Amino acid sequence: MPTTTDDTVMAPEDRKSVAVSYFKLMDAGEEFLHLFDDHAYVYFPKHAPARGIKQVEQLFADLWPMFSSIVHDNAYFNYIVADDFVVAEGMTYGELADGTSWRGGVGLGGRFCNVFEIRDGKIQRLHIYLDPDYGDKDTARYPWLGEERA
Amino acid sequence: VSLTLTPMADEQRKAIALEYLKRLDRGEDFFELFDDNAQLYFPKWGLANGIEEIKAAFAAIADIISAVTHDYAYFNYTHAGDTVVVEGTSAGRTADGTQWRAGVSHAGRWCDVFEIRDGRIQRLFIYLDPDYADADIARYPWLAAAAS
Repeated sequence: MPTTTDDTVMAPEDRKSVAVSYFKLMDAGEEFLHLFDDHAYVYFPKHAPARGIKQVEQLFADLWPMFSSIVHDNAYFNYIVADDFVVAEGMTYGELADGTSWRGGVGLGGRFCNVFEIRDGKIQRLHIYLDPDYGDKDTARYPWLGEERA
Repeated sequence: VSLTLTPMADEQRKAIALEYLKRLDRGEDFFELFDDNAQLYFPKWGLANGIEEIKAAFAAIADIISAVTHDYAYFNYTHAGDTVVVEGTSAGRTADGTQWRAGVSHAGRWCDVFEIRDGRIQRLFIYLDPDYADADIARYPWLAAAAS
């Protein structure tokens, strides 16, 4: 969608609503790419940033093989909304393709923070900040995890 | 905890968040910026409750990172109520000498969520991929495909 100077002004709750839809549609296994602008930018750890809807589609297609299921615990997210930014902070649980389950707050994986820029009804930018090692498999690298508290 | 908090402006919260990051980069003490009962989250550490556990967490993190520079000039700040979200990039060197730089390596993009009240950081959750050296690659199907 081309950017114009008369973009639809969105209310904060409308921006939040787009972010909530993203989580709910994803968890339901439903199509959610329509929430993104054609020129959207998406970042996920260890993946090259996706520029434009084709690369965004590819990024999520690259991620799915990691997961059997994922649930975003949306009722307990913190939403920080200011201007065109919606930050959503919270926890997930689910199962990886290899059968490892994770649950935020129980294991180490499963805490995340998403930064959305939402304008004109669409997600223009999404940065997903998290440790992508959901299953706590890469622990030997961290000296403190060799100790008792792990 | 006093029930009568000193009101703070957004720019005061921003100043505290930025001060924390600048002291971190300079290797200076920053624990006075935290409330005694603050809560910290760092990936692969989990939660640290109270200043003593927070000190232990940062000491452990310092053992895996030799040097870090946060790119202050290009941060995004999002303020709402007592929460400040700071999103940015970093560059640095791990203890084993591996360099990282956002945009060059995978590592180096981070997002900090601060709750700042009464002049102190009450909560700091640090969201990032802690694999600064890009050493854990084989686990990710798209990277394995690119490498083969």
